[in-house]
Amino acid sequence: MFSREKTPPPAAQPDAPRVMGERLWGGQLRVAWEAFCRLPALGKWPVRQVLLKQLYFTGIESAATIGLVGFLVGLIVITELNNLVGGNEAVTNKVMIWVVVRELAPLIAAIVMVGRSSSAFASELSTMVINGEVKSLRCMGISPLSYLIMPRVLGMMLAGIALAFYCQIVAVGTGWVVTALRHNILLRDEVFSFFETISYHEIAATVLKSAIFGALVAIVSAYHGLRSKTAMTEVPQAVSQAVIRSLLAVFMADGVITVLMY
Amino acid sequence: MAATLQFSGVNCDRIVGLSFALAAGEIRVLRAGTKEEKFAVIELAIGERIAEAGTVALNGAPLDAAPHGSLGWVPDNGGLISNLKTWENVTLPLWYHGKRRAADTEGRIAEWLARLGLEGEAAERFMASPSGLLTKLERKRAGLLRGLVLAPQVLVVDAALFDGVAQDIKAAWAAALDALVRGAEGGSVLVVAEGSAALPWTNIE
Repeated sequence: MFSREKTPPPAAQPDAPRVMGERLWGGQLRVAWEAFCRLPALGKWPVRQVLLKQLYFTGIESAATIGLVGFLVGLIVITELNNLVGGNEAVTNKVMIWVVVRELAPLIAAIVMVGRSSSAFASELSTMVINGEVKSLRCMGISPLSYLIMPRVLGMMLAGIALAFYCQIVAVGTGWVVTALRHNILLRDEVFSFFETISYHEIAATVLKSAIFGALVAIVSAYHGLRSKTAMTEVPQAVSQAVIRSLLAVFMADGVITVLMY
Repeated sequence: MAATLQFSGVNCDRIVGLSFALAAGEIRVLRAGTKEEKFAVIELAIGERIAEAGTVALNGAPLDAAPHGSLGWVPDNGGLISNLKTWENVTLPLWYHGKRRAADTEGRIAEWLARLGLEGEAAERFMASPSGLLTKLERKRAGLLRGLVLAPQVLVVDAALFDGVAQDIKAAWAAALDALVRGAEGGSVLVVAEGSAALPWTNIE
């Protein structure tokens, strides 16, 4: 019943750069699509547990870093702005919305996620593949895409939205307080002026941006983590690829969304 | 007795025309010549590999159509997920496949742990330990416990699980597998061995 014949190895395929590029983007799009198709797996408790852990790791544990960066960004932007336009609250709020709310906050949240979660996720997945843990999951009838990838993509999307919102609040709040103290303007007037200036379209665009950035970071990291095969030396390679390509993807997406929406 | 797991003329990689049937309530040993053949049989039996020819059926239906959690797997090294604690590893397939409610699980785990020779504080410490900190024997025990707690229709066991295990522990583990097939759920166990290692169950000819 058991034969001793060896099957011949598959013929080597040419790896032209264009083909590799198509495979790379195609692979990431496939991971994204497969993760989206597995959303119903959220009904399973172990999958929800992974989602909650990801929200805690990416969202809660990054909050202090985001808070500090948001405060510093708010302070820097408002100091430059005050020097440029003085105590003009209308112009100050407009520039704060354009620079901080629309652009910097989602980007800062994404960059912190790349630094913390992308590297962690890629190295974890890569190690799991190499140690045979991903295969173990499949052998137990558990889809690695449902259990490992989808909840992390969703978790990073939600955490991205929350972190960007938190960064916006801290940075804009810092701006209000600094302007109020330096130019003797009522804080209440600044807040009213801000909410009169910002539009629903701008809020929707930042939420969309943050969600897309979170998803991109997760998908690119998952793709590079899953590409590892057998050697532990592949782990640092997967991590550096995940970090660099996540950053590239975030900036490219930012450019596209900004051009399309504004 | 109706066949639970049935291989009919299965061809795959190094396997040619493999046919056998495993009935409910049975534990039998299938002996492969090499490690690769053993892994091929295990992967075919749990649906991880597709047969190039022939069929693998569970209760007469293809494995794809089998209800989730009806096939279990006990590898030689536990097959644990390193970022989970032992209890999370043990309950993962059970809760993922929605086979049991949380309330039932604790008692069931305690019962199987006692059969595997672990009770009280030692059992609690074992279950709370991150799987990365477990010894080789503990990892094997956790993998076996996971299969027992799942109580699938067919549990596929890699016989290398028993390699390097003391005789008394080996006997307790074999008794636990016997208890599984005699239990109310009436599962069966396929032990896949490489070579002629001594095992207390009858071979599949």
